[in-house]
Amino acid sequence: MTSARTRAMPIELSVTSDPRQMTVVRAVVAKASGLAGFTERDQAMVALAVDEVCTNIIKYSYRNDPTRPIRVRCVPGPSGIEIVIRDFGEKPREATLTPKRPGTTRLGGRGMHFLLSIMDKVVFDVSPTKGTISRLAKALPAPSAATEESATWHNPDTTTFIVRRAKDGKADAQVRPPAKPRRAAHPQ
Amino acid sequence: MAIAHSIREAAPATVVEFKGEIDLANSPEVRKLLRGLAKEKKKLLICDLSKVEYIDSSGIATLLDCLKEMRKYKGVLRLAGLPGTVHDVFRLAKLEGVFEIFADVAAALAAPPK
Repeated sequence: MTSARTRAMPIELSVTSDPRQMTVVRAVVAKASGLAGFTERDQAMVALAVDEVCTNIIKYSYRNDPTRPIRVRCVPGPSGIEIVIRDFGEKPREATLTPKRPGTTRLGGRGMHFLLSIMDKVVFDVSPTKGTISRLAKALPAPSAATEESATWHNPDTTTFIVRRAKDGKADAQVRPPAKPRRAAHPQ
Repeated sequence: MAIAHSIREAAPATVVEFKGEIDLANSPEVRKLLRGLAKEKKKLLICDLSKVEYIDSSGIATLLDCLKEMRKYKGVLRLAGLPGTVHDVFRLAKLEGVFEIFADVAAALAAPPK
């Protein structure tokens, strides 16, 4: 797969907001992450992050209507992967963009924690007339941090997290500071 | 992908083996099953997740829901055989201290009460 890692290769997928289709989205995202060079454990993590974005779209933007469109574009490249998820539903409310504290028995609110812990950069662009463009990026971890035996993630407070509301696409809210250098797997 | 399950008695425990993915599509079915078992006031319920290929936040919430229901009558829920990628999700959610997690069903059966 050496040649695969030398250039970007966009992979595009259109599904409906039927939860049963998310297994297909996860499979494609995992494979795309594999093309970028992520380990199997990290491929599963990236698929989980995208799944959580799609879950929020299905539950909140489309209010569980299973017929609405979701487009996913993966761009695996030599340094990692970028993923763009497009929906045409309601804009996310502030509460759904706030990660909840992990480690509790609260039933909901883990999706954003997962997303921000797994990905290095998360941008919710709500400036389009309809819907949201969610842009996610994850860099390949340093070779010393990546093993087949463990996935890599980090403190979600170090993730670049931006909500773009202005129509010119400029960020009007950066909720999190830029990501710091990656730490080893499983920081507590 | 559908979720399949089988239930067996292994006194003093009831063991539920799941096979497939526990995600947004399947969580309602799993929640209904586990709530039913909690309603029967099972003393010790072991969820064998060794054949679960994927779990997301809705799946985690489903297991937490069962845990909370069982705690109401002092029942015990144990999770067994988590594959690496599934265990990663529990670590990420920092729930290893919330659930009783065991390497396999035999270890979950043999463990003394907390």
